Amino acid sequence: MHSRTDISRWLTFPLDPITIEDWLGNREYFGLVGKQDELAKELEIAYQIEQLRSKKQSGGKDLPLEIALSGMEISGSFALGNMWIIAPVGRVNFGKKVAIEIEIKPDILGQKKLIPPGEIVYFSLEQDKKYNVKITCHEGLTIDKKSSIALEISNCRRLIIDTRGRPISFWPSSIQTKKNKLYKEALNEV
Amino acid sequence: MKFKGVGLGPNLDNVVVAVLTEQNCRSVDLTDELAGKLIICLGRVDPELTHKAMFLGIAGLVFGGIHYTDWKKLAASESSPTLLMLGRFGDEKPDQSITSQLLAMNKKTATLRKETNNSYELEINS
Repeated sequence: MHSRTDISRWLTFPLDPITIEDWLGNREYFGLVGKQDELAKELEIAYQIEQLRSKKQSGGKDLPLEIALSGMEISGSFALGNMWIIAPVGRVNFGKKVAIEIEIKPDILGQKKLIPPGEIVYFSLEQDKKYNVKITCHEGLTIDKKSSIALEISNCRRLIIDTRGRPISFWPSSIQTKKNKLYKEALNEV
Repeated sequence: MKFKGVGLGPNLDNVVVAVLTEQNCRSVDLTDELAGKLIICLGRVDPELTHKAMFLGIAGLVFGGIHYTDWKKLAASESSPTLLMLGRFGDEKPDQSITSQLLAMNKKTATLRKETNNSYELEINS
């Protein structure tokens, strides 16, 4: 069975260890039963992510992005539905200021944007427009084995940048919960 | 009358049922007179209670719930009495329908058998 710390690192709110362990015990022994409230739904997402990470379950094309991105540690630069995902490979150092630099033309950012390590951020795009995106990685991160890439993106409504690194680096637990809330917004608000 | 739940320990055949409480069971509630019996306490139990049950020679404990942390401790002990949880981990009590039926079973005899993996079945002779 997964440990309570494996599960709590994906939650968007602090939850006492006994409640997590009881939920996990029930999930393992009885499956998905009982009231599926917000708490249970969030625990189930964390459980699904850990199932994928521990290879107890294999991934599929229909997985929600939140589960696939963290559970399968998908990396590189790729289109997914009407989204374009950028997830560099490499260990990030939270002490550094910049993980990647991004420039989008036609300009939607005002200027070159610097994204620190350990973030998931998004940029809204107009689906019927073409965008030229230039990304430069810092601190040893790479995208498809390159330190900088230039892309032409079209038919996408959202560009998502995941600078948690691959393998994913976790913030200290007190910060991780707050970050998870921001990650969730970035991945789910379309 | 049959009840299913999650359990631990050896099968029990034709043991006398002693209904103790529908509240959370305390270790002081267990006495020498309950030795060899199947105790029904439909609240929550903890390792202290099951340790005393083992010490007294109680055959089995049927209860409502337990915290999973405590369950793991019991699962590691081979000498605890046979256990049957009728609720869920973290629960205080099982369904009210089960509670009322079990509370009426004092002094009847029961069989508790392992069905599959952690699943056990309790049959009470009416």
